[in-house]
Amino acid sequence: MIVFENVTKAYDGTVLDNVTLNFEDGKITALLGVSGRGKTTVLRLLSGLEKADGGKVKASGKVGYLFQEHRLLPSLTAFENVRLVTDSDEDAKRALDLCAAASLSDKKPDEMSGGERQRVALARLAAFGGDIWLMDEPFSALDKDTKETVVKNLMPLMRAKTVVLVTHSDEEAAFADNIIRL
Amino acid sequence: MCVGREIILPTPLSVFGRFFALAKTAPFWKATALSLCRIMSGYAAGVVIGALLGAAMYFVPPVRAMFSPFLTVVKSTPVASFILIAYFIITDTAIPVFITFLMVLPMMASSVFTSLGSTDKALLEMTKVYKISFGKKLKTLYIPTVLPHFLGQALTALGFGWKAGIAAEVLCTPRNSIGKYLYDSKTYLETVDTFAYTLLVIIISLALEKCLKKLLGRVKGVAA
Repeated sequence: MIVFENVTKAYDGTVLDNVTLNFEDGKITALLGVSGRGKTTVLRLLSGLEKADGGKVKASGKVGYLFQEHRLLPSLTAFENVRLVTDSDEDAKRALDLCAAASLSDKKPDEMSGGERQRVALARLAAFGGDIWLMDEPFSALDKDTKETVVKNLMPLMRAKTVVLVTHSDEEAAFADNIIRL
Repeated sequence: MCVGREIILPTPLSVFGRFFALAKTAPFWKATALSLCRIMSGYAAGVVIGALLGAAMYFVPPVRAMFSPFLTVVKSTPVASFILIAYFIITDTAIPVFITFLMVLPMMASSVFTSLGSTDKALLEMTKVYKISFGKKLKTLYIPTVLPHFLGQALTALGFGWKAGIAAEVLCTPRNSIGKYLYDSKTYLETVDTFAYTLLVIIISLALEKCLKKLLGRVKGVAA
């Protein structure tokens, strides 16, 4: 369950001012909006990486976070990066398969393209599992065909969780059950 | 004008000649072996304890508060002062070990502390979100971050440690040491011997550097 009530957060300037958002359990909610409106801040607050200046933020359960950048460990291969968050080789392999990244297993991040790194990061999230997924522009670096495959494979997993999906794209927001414009 | 007058500036030929003559004697090798043992044990202790101290300073703030002033004092105090102070406290054979240790320790501790501080914050956030254990974090994030800096610093510290160790031997003249022979040659105005032992110090320094580079290359290879 996610609670996000009357939240205020400021860095140099105020990003969120007394904002209340409703994220339905077991649904995919897309956060749409132009840059600088605090979409990523919402995810960072929900993940516990940031503390709100005011209001109430709570995400109950195991929270997985797909960052806007891949954040893969550079010294590890794709398989090792995914394996890091799960207990079994099988889960890691399955997750890489789901994200059309099985062929990248032995590659290190600096040997991959941006799209490939994003697929591996998605595989890491899939392998991690959890109850809540926070996804920051999860498919932005993927080409059309790969995006279709990955979305098709991941959608059953996403439907079984509470997902908060940040995007600029109306096309990606179309996967969501609810849309919030910030 | 001075060259050729053996007491002032001997010719390279006579230095090499004397070096090879000394190399045929047992005391020369005994002094070399013992000096190497002393200085390298101080170096090894400095590297290991320095690395552990640097890591402890990063992960445990009270350790940082406690040891930062100590490291600053050690780094800014002349090595000769330490040698003379140590001379009153510990045995002459232990002084080169201690001095080398003291020179290497702050270099390694600072290197590990600073490079741990440069760990990618974005990756640290990722490990926090995915609840990656400290052991895994250490192996996959911290060590790969620290290792290149650590290896480079270990190489630099070797040169410093070796020179400081020899200086400690010269000032404290422990038996069977390169430093004692250097000191004696100066006392008895055997300038050729002074140059020959200095040549030995340089050769060992270069050899140690080469060996360590090879070893570090292997470590890097294994870590990659």
